[in-house]
Amino acid sequence: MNIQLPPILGYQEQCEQLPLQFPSQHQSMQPGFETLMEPKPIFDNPAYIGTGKLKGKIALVTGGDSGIGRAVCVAFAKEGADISIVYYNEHEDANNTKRYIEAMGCKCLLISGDLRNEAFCCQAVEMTLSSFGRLDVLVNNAGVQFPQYSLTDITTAQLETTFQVNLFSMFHTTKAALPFLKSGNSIINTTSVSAYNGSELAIDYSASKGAIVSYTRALARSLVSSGIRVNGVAPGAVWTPLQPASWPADIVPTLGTEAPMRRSGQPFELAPTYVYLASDDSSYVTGQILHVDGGLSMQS
Amino acid sequence: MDFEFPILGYHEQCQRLPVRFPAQHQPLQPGLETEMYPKPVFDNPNYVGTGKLNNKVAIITGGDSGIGRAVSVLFAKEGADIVIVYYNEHEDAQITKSYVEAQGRRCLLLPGDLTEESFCQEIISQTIQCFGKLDILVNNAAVQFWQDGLENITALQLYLTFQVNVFPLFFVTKAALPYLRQGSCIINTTSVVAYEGFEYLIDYSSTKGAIMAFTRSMARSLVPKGIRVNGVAPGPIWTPLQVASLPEQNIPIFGTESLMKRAGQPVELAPAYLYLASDDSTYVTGQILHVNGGLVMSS
Repeated sequence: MNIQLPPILGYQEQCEQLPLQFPSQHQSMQPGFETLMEPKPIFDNPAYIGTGKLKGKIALVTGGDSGIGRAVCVAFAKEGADISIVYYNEHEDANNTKRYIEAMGCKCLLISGDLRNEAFCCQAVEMTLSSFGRLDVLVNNAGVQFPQYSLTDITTAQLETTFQVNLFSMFHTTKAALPFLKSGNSIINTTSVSAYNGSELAIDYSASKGAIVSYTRALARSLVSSGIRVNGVAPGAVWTPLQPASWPADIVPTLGTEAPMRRSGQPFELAPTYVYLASDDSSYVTGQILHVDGGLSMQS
Repeated sequence: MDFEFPILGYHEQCQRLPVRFPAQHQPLQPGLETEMYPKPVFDNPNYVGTGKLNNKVAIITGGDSGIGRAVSVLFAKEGADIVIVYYNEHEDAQITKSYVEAQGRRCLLLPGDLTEESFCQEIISQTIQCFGKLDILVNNAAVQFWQDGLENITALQLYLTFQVNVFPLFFVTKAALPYLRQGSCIINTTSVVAYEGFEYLIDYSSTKGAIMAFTRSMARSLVPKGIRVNGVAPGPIWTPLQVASLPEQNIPIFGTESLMKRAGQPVELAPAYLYLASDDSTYVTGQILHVNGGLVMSS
């Protein structure tokens, strides 16, 4: 470099008190288990009163057993929808969510399996249809995240898994659902703040989430003539099983404190956003991403 | 230039655009909803409120008509008392007031000129005097003056557009700040043209970009106080502003450039404001929601 930079004269120390929100914890497997988390995520806002915004509708929510997906299922049920939950193998989480939904007088179908498998994605749609006879709202929400310090640490196997679970499953599931979707139906994809901000510790994950943003926009254009709206939600740091199952234990206590609100979100804070996009409240909205991230990214 | 781009001929491409509105124009801004035909749809009779804004007090500038009217009516359904700030459209304002009162909520009408800082301060003092508090501030009033090219935008028009669309956000918000508390929120109306640009509304689209950045900066500024600041960016919506600014011949196909090939109705905007005003969006700040029929997908 030809430019002579002024020499560094010394250093000034800058410190910040980060609020500790959660005990340090780690789960060794993905997807994580909500039952093992401490404290438990808040997935229901008792003050939220449903008014039949999704009455008589059928919603399929992937990753609906726990985390954001569970909160979405609960809010959808409050609004009168019957729910089909697609999950991997977290049977206890899934059964807890099912019981919760059934206690509200709604039906809940549990479908356990591997979204990496296209045949299973089709099966999930088929089982929903044979059980409920229709499908109105598709929430593609399941995701995995495997933090690595560098690109060189991301194996091809991990890269493929991340894209298979986070993105390709959306193609498979939506493709299988398309013949049954009608005008007025809605598709909602969960992307992430890391699609917008980038994440040096989750390069493959953030790339898959960026792909979901573009997928959402392209599909919105593709389906607008059918009257089907396609939108997404970009959560910031939210207290879900994915967090302790992916981040090192020492990162967990201060999760989300880099947001202007200096805290993590709770799953119940995400649910109304999905209700808005699923219902007629957003009849003039398509191809959009809503950001629920405590102000972490402001580029909408 | 070293390159040449020869044209070999032309290929004609035609589009059938659905016509939903008769040609019409109103000579004055702000426009009058009473004189529009068809009337904008601002109320969803099937919408059931659940007290999401119970006993909150909301100020809505430009709340007499258009998007502001739809927001006023929906907020009232959710239990809020409403302060409507408007210029001189008394008939529009009275109609909105009657809808708010039909929901069993109070409605204070404050006609005046937002370009005067003293009036902006008066809005807050009158609100506090009438209702004793303020929870939600919706900065929504705007003007837009159609011009073909920068050379036709006079300094006078430029200043007026910023004086109505931008500066009152500073004045009203500044006056409101001492009364806003943890859980209060501010919602600013920006526009799809802030993102797309628009060659016939260069000054207007600049003001809307300013509102976008104001929203982000205020979100950062007020987050320690627990006050959330967000915005809504409407696409083409059937409001008095359109018939008062667009050339008459643009009205019949108004909004057909959106992906949904239609203009939005004010009623389709209101739930976005409600979401941002209520505890449904407790983890949302500094964001813009795009309600534009898919016209722009930059969120």
